[in-house]
Amino acid sequence: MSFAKGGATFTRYRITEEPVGGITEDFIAERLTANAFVDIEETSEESSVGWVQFFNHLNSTFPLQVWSFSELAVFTLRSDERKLPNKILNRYLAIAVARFTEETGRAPNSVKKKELKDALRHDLLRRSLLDTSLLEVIWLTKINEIWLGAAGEKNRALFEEAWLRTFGLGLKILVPITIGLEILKKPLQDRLMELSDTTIFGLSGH
Amino acid sequence: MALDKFVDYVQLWQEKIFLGEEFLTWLWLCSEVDNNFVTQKGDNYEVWFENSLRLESGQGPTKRSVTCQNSNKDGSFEWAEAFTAVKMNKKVINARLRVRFEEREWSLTLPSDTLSPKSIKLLAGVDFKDENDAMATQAGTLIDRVVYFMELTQIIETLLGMFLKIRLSPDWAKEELPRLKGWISRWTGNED
Repeated sequence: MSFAKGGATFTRYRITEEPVGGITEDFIAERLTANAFVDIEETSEESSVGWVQFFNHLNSTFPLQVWSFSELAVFTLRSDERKLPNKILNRYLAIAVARFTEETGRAPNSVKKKELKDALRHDLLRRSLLDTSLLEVIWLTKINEIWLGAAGEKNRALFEEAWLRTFGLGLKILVPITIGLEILKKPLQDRLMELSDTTIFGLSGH
Repeated sequence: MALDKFVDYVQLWQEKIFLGEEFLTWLWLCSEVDNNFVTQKGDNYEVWFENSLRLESGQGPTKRSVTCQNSNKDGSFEWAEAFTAVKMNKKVINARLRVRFEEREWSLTLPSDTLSPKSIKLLAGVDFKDENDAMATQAGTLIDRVVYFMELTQIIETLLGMFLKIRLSPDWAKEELPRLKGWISRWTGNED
């Protein structure tokens, strides 16, 4: 499921500020490139978050023709993560400690034990599988609106952090109250702000 | 970079989280009362609530939820349980609905907290043409779909605007609320 195929799901935001010099194609491309996804497949890094192309999640370069279509800027936030459960690390550590003790005739001290643990963590992380998540983003440049192709607090937080780090521009999430304030004019805006939660349709409604 | 650029809006959002619940409840009742038509300035929006409604009341430990199924295909008493839930002060927090405007039709799930459409399907008035060039096809289809999604978000905003204008007007208490409560009472069998 994505914006391009299947049933789409999205969260809407409005950009609330402009960079010095305005939002240009150069600005977007330069920021995307500076915050592009870095592959950690062959490393022991635990996580990597950055931008990849909308239609090719293996490519993190941004020539104009792959992200700028009509009045849309499109790209994907890729997050790769590998997890090493403590239980597994401790099991391997116990084996390593036993082997060290057998070979040297003495138990490892705390410094040696940490050294063994760090080496094991590095080795096990490099061998563990990556968990990849992809968040599609569509920027409607003409109306300064952003669509995040996902819902849920965790996805929103991941995107919002990456957005601020990349573009440094404030965003307003478009939900009933913020949409309402955009639609209405004064004095209805003021009345909307004063409106409180009441039991409106029920037996005691007003 | 601090995330405080979001904080003001998030706090306001939480304070006014009930707005979406009121809106979805109003929209559902209007669609029932007015034979699935919601009309503004001569534009007819057809709205059907399908399959199931999730309603909720209270917050925190006092929160109570109920999911009501629309299993009766002949149209009679199909939402009786949901009408009763509304009368017991519950509001709609999630709904699967179909929306039709002019020749276009969408199916979507609408949660009350964000009104961000989920699992959108384009049911009618859509024609995706294939092109030879692979990239052009991908991009062209994406642009077409974004246009249809924009139309849908505009319709949701129009419907929300209709609700807010009447909710904030004296007509709400004098006309709209009695009209909708009268309808609920007809189905639940109790007059207030």
